[in-house]
Amino acid sequence: MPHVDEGRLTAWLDGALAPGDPVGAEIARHLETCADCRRRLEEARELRGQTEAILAAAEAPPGRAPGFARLAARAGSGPTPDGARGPRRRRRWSVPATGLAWAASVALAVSAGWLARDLSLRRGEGAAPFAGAPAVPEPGPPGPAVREEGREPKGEALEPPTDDIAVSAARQKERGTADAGEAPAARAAPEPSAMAAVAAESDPFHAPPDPEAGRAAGAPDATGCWERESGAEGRGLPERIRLAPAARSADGTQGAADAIRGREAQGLVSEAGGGVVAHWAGFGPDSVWIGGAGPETLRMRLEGDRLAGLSRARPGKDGSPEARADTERGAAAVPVAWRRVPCEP
Amino acid sequence: MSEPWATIYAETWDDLVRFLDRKVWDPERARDLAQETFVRALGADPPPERPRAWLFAVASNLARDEARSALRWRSRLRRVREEERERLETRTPDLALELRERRRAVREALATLSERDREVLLLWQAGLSYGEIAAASGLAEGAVGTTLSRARRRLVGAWTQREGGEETGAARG
Repeated sequence: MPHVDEGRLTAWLDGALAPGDPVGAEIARHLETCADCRRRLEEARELRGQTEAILAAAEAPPGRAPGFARLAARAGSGPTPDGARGPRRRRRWSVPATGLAWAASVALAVSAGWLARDLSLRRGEGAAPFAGAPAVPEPGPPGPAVREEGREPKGEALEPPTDDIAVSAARQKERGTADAGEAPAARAAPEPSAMAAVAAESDPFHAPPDPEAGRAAGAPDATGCWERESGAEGRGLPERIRLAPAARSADGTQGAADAIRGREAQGLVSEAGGGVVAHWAGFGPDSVWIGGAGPETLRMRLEGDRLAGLSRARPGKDGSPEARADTERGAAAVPVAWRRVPCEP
Repeated sequence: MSEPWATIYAETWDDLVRFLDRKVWDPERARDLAQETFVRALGADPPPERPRAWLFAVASNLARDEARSALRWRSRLRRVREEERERLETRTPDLALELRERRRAVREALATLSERDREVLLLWQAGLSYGEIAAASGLAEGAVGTTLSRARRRLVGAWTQREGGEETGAARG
């Protein structure tokens, strides 16, 4: 065999060749007999170590990861005190850049301990294939998850979530970097415990598993069907939405993912019969997040049989700056509301 | 069973922030962009098939937009806050200063790489597999090894050269 080329040698070193890959075996055999290539391998290994050390030198602490719920909060709303309406400016709550995204979009998630398993529009034939589906706990993840697994023979991106918290250090090893020990000491080790703490902190994704038992005492139940109030602003939002409780797995995380995936899988159809939309879950002790395909989000409050707009975040033309500013000021009133209606059969 | 977003979030956050930080060189901004990335991920339609590759690709784009954008919102206030934070985190001003200095040096060394090489290197550093790097960068998977190898060599070269002499301008290798 000719000498191993640089790229393959590096791939081999990095553990990028699948275990059964004949190329890998061939390289291994070659290395046994070729001192030249062994030297090159050592050099490559050293370069890798040096590279990691150099990059680690630049590392600022990544900071605590915001809780998943807070992530939604960041996108959806600022510290608007509950009940405090923002200024009654009737502003359009879709800016041109993201108006379309909004038009096609809605996802709901609800508070404390339970999740929207399914949110569908009830309007338009064929528009709501899941509208009538009972929201029952399901053992496995729906569509996208399966598809993903099928396509990923190497399984790198889909190691089963053995634990709800995995750390990059562990990943680094799993990835196939066979030789530990040369990891630069300077590299700041992620702190699993800290991250777990953060993740668990006020994060409904880690709330108790059972959808019923998991619902916080006194937390409002927003499951059911909702119809947008006439006169309410909200161009592009669906007139009717359906919100159902989520399935949860024992560790509380898979259910959340299922719920999200479920919504992703189902998609939503706008009133106009338009596109499938985005969906993610947001939580609060008494609020419901509505996230669009764009970064815009609404926070709704459950008031009896009414879901009333609390606040919203509007993204800047190119991203988040304005959203954040907007959010921080808590300036955005949301003149949108849905009223509870009986679900159609 | 594939990874739920919550898990991906928990395990990717650090890497994503670091990855972004090495692009925007502003830890706080990096965190903001990381959040933005996840917000988009949760709203992605259809859901990405390779979530982590997708995340880093989006993050990369956000960082690029950020660099291009006239709307850079690194206000002075922000900068002050950032320095304050850094000081707190590193306990002593000396260390903070040292960290800033080191960051500057790394940034310069990275700047000697081609954009693609740099991207691939940072993706690897962020913990992505070759397959994911390929998916995120658009490179053929078979080319990742060569690219990484070149990137490492170059980075170390630039760094060594920098360390060796005062003159850093000649670090291009």
